[in-house]
Amino acid sequence: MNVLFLLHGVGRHATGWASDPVATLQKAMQLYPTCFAANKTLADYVKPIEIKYDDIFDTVLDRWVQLANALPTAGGGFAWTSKVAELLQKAGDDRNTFARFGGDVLLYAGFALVARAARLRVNALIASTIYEENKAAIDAGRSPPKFGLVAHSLGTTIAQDALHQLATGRWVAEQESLAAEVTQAATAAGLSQQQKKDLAGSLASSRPAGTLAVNLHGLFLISDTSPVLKQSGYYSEMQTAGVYDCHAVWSVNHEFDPISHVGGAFTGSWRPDRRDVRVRHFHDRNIHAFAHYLSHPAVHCEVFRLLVPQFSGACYKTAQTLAAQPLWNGFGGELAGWVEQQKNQLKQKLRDAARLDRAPPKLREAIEAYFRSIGLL
Amino acid sequence: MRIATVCAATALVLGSALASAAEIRGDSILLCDEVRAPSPSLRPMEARRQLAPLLGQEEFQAAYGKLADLAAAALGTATGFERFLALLRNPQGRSFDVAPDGNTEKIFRAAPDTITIDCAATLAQHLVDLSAAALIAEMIRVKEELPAALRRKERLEKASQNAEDMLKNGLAMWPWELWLNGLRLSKKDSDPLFRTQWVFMRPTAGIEIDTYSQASADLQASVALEPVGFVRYRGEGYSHWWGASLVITASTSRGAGYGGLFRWDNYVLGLTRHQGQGSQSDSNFLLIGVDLYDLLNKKRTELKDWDGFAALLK
Repeated sequence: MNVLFLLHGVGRHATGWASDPVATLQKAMQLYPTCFAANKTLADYVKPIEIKYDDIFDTVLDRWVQLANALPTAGGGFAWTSKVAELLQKAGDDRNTFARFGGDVLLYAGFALVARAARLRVNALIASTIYEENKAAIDAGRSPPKFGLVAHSLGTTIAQDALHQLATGRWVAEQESLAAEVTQAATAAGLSQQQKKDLAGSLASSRPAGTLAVNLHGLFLISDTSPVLKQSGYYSEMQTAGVYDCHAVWSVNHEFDPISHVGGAFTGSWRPDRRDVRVRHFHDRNIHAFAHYLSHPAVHCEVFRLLVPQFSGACYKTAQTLAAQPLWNGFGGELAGWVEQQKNQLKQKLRDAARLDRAPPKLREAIEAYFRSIGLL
Repeated sequence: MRIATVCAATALVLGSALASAAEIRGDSILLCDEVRAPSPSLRPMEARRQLAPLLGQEEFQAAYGKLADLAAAALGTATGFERFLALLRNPQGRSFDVAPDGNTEKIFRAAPDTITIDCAATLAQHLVDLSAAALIAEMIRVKEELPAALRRKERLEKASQNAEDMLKNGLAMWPWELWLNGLRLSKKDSDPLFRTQWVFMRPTAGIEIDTYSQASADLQASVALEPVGFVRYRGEGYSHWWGASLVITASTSRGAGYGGLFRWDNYVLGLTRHQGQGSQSDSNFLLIGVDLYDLLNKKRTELKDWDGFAALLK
């Protein structure tokens, strides 16, 4: 069975957080009664794997609170330490607000140790799943599964960074000395300079020693923030000898989502086969929500098409037809009854929240402005 | 829902040629939404039977070569696939995944050598054979990479544990220390995490005691500052360390003091020197971290309890 990794964005996420996007995809399955049997769940077609990393941010905040609590009030030249302690206590005590205000963004983009821990958490789970699922398939004589990753908001940055590290890191260290050994062997074998040069060229076009390709079949970047926040590199653009490690990439953004705008999702030049999916539906005030994106046929059809063999070409075409309907290009769902004035007000607030420079602190401000604009703060 | 049903019915009539993910299905393959039979030599069971001795001995290069021979024979006079066969003989880790893309299926989707199969057209047998060879090659690649994938998984699990242990169990870092130590990381997450942590402008709670006059001891915990220092981690789990720092205090009535401290896990012991003012002479102070002070107090209480117990026995 193919595997769908789900990676969350800013905010606090309890274990089991992925039940929300999974439920959205299951609800979306009902739009295609000829493609999915009525009594089946998403897990009957694809294996969802939830990835959670925000508890690492909690750990950092906890440690800061501990430090602050252990410090007595200082006077004189050390008075500043009390101010700092006060700030840290506040961040720890109000961590829900801190996270929702985009504090996670600052922790990830500002502290390399925190970013590394988050990336490693993500990669450990991905590498472990890839190994175990592939082994199970090979042992059973089945086709190896396909692996897709859907990342949302801050998760898009962490996905790009983490997968870049996974693909370029020397995780298979036994091969590190391979190049040196080959050179020695070439000399010992008495190869000519031209032969050595050819061999060196051949080695140069192969993967760096000690690395192993990820070969992710699909990367879905939903409300992409990686252009502004990335710390390592773009996995989606990574090539070895002209071959992209990531087989296919989708950048999915809402035209009014300020986080996509300030995160730089609509900028940059990318690999030619990257798919840009732009949605403009308003079925919930929180248009940035992971579930709101996944509910759109133009979005979930790409995930289904890649990972669910039963989702045939006909099903895909149905989704494309649905995506073009007015329902999926305007107000609907919970906001179906809104009058024109309400609609325009929301759009204006979202536009205002998007008028910020593209930089990590500005993205945090955009997140705050966004949640204020939709009345969730 | 009504719209969806209507659309689904329309699409089934009009758009059945779009592709979904290709895969091996028993002794056939799913390609362009239909289960199709490859030529006999490339049927998955027969191909596996032929490749089994080579795969069993982990002779993957030879297995690729054998598969290329089978594919070349099946492709017969079909042209334009020389590059595919060359890659099959020398794949260098290349993925042979077959994936849908619009109205097509693609082999090497993310590479310049992409082979596109038009699902709208009637599929020629050689395209089915080509896809079957690609799907079998993908199985060989995955099998070949399993030992390396296992090593990668194990190393990542260890690296992830270390990174989280340092944040959770290590000497807690103030925000600027966390930032500063982060600057020391290499660009690659696969490089080992450092075992020596820098200490910088670190406020520490401590108690200072005048080594000459206990009467002047200030037993109120106050803030000392470690301008620079380090800790070195011991053992696994980043939960034990030793270290040393320079220290500045302003905790007593004797003004600022300067000195050094030694750290063993959470226990801190230091020595500071305060300049005498006016006729006062300079004096040395013992700096005791709060945790060590608590430990000493606890031990003293235990000793008192032991004294009382010993007295009862007399």
